[in-house]
Amino acid sequence: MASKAYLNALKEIPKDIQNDVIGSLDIANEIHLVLEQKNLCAADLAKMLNKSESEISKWLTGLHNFTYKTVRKISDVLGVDLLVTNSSKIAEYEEEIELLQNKIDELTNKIDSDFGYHETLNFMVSTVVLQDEDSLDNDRYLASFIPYEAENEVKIKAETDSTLSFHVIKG
Amino acid sequence: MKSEISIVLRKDLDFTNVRYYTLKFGDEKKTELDKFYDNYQKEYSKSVDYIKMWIAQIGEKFGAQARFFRPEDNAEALPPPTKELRCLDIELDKDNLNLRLYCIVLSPEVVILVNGGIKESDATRDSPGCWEQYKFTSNISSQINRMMKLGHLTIKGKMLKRDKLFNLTYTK
Repeated sequence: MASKAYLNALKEIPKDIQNDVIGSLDIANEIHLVLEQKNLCAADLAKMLNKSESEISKWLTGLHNFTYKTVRKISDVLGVDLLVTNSSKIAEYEEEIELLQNKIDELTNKIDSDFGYHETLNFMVSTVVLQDEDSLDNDRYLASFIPYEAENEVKIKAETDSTLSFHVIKG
Repeated sequence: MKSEISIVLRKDLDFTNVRYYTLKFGDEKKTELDKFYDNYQKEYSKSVDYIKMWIAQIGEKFGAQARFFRPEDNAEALPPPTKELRCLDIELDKDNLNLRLYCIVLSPEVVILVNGGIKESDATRDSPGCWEQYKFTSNISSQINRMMKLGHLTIKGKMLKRDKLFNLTYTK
């Protein structure tokens, strides 16, 4: 949630200036993070785009007025989508949730076949927390199931590099 | 005349990731940041609004990373280090592009916003509109660095703690 200071600051600043600064800083930061992740520097990006290093450095300070074409070009050479729409983001999360649901089903079957507890062990998933391990501040998704009090916590490392935590209780 | 300088917390600029402070001469009522806004808000409103928005956005979302500040010897300045400001709005005139707000970035969470002015030429010393403000910021920055090295001024998260026996001073 935004701080009170931020919300108050926005009241005083014209909307067009807000959008300019928010947009340019966001894209500049995104490029900076991708370069860092890929262990690249501004000079590498300059070479990839056939631009001067000073121009790329300016982009990274958050003052450049990026056109859609420029962002597309940067996305292409870096191999990442810098402009992610809400619908594509939701689709991505849905896919991850489905993957985790499959893992839950898999584990349910494993417990059933290994221990034959199915009739006597009433286990419920109270919460599913989907969290990208590489970036802890990423969106966190909670899917609520039947809210039973937890006795044990089981963690599974999924193939997606996400951590699935859920609680198993004896019924 | 030698004046005592205090570091003043700007409660209205206490953002999620950065807490901004400013400076105040002991014998004056207004803080340096207020003087900056009073001097330039009317005539250079667009530039001041951009600066306010950078302060807010850096403070709320990104933290005070060095790349967002223009290095000015042992101090820093806003806007960020580029001449590309014109790209944002072609109506900005030359004077608007040259408004500087000097600051002292102590950590990614603590920044002191000082005062500024119009930079009329490439060299700050050749710009009477901002030379005094720059000299003041640079001088205070040196004193703060010295105090920090000696442990008289410490940073804990977004908090600044000063040993009361040691003051910042400046001779106008």
